[in-house]
Amino acid sequence: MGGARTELTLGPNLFNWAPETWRDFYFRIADEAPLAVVYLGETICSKRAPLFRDHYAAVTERLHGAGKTVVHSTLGETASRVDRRLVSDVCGMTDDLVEANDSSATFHLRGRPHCIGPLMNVYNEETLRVLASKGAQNICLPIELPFTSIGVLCAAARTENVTIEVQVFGRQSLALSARCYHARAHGRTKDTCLFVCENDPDGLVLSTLEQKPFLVANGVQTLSFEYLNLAQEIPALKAAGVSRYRLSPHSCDMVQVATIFRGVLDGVLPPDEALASLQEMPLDAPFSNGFHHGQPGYGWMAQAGAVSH
Amino acid sequence: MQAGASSPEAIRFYCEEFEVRRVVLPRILTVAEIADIHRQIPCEIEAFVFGNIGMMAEGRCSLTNYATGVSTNMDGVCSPAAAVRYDEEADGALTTRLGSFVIDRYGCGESGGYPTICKGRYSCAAQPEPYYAFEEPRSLNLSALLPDLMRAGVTALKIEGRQRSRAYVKSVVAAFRRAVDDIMAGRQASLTDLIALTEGHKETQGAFQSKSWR
Repeated sequence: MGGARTELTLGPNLFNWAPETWRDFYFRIADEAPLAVVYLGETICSKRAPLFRDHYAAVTERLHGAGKTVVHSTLGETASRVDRRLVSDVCGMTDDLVEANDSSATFHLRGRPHCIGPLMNVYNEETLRVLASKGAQNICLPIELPFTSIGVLCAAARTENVTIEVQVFGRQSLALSARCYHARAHGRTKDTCLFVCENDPDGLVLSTLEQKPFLVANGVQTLSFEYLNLAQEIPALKAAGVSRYRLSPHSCDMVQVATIFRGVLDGVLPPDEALASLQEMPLDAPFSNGFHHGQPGYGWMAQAGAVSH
Repeated sequence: MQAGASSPEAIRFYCEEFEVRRVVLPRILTVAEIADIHRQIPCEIEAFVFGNIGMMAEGRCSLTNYATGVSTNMDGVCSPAAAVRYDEEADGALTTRLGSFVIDRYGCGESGGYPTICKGRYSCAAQPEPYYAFEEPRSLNLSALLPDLMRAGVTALKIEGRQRSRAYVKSVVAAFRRAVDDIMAGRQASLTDLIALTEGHKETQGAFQSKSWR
């Protein structure tokens, strides 16, 4: 599958953007971004889902109209009745595929074709085979898997007729909790949050006592401060058999990010030029690729290290 | 691999697909929610009652790997001792580090906790003064909730023993055994001795008591 067609995808928006911002972002993505697949839906907090519900059908229609495949993503952490209802409702959408982000969703989706999201634990071939036998067609791997594991899972996926997806851009999801850290930062609780997460379109940066930016809070989710950037690693990922390359949405120009990554995937933009273009973008943090190289996740290995797989 | 099953549907998925007989619930649920889950699943429940409060859902935390390159999911460690450093500052304060990141700092005479990322002190735009962004360095101690947990349908109690001494494990397990026997026999249970064994001598009931913890 090394020479097979590669698809660029846009993961679900992780942040609480104003409903009109959310709608306009996806309208522009539909019209201008060279993406094959767009994952939609609330994966972090069930309280946010109603906020953009009014625009959901219009966005889905616009994406379909632009020839993009739409996949509906489910909640990462499912505990309360509201969480459970949201997961059940999304899994009931049958016009498009659904991406499961916890086993509450696989409970509903088993027996019919679906996708597995990066918040599910798929660390070995046996798990991949079980999920494939329940109907998984595409699996986006957990963020912390090193390249060596990605290669092993790609080989297993080929025999199961499953495609493998890997995140290549955007803050990395590091943990999920029941407690909302946005609410806590403002002296509130999850039930009394007043949606304070809406003030941070790329999350709330947490710095150490040495004022070193370290982590990013996004509701119940903790993300990396750095933006994952695997532009340099794409040739190796293609050779390993990765089919789908996921960009995680941020408030920066995602059409530009998509255009750059599409250029690398097509072999028309050298990875070092892609990296230089991405470095010129006004992002609020540096890049990382440590997990991919079996190093601490915040780390960055320059190209010389990156090509020595 | 920890499955991170926190809803009746997730647990039923594992029961039906893998004939799971008992689930250890993540430490993110209230006692009322545990009772509710118990009514909707066909298997036994085991609950954490004592040890690390573990702010993140089990099996869904890569914070240690992010800072150290050693993974909780792949290597089985949280905050490995090899990556921990205690540095004494000129003013006598103690700075704790994991990898290259400062996790917390304690003044002279303050008792410090073992540096784990989710018990560290950080600052942010909303809290310019350093605060415990995730949780304070406290241990989970549900001894006061034991009768409620037993009524909620919990069959087994889980006590953290990993990275702990034999003496610690012996006293904690013995205390809980006595307490369970006392409750079953209708006697008042006493677990006050356990507080001395909790992290930094501070304890919490975490998520279990009420939703306001969230």
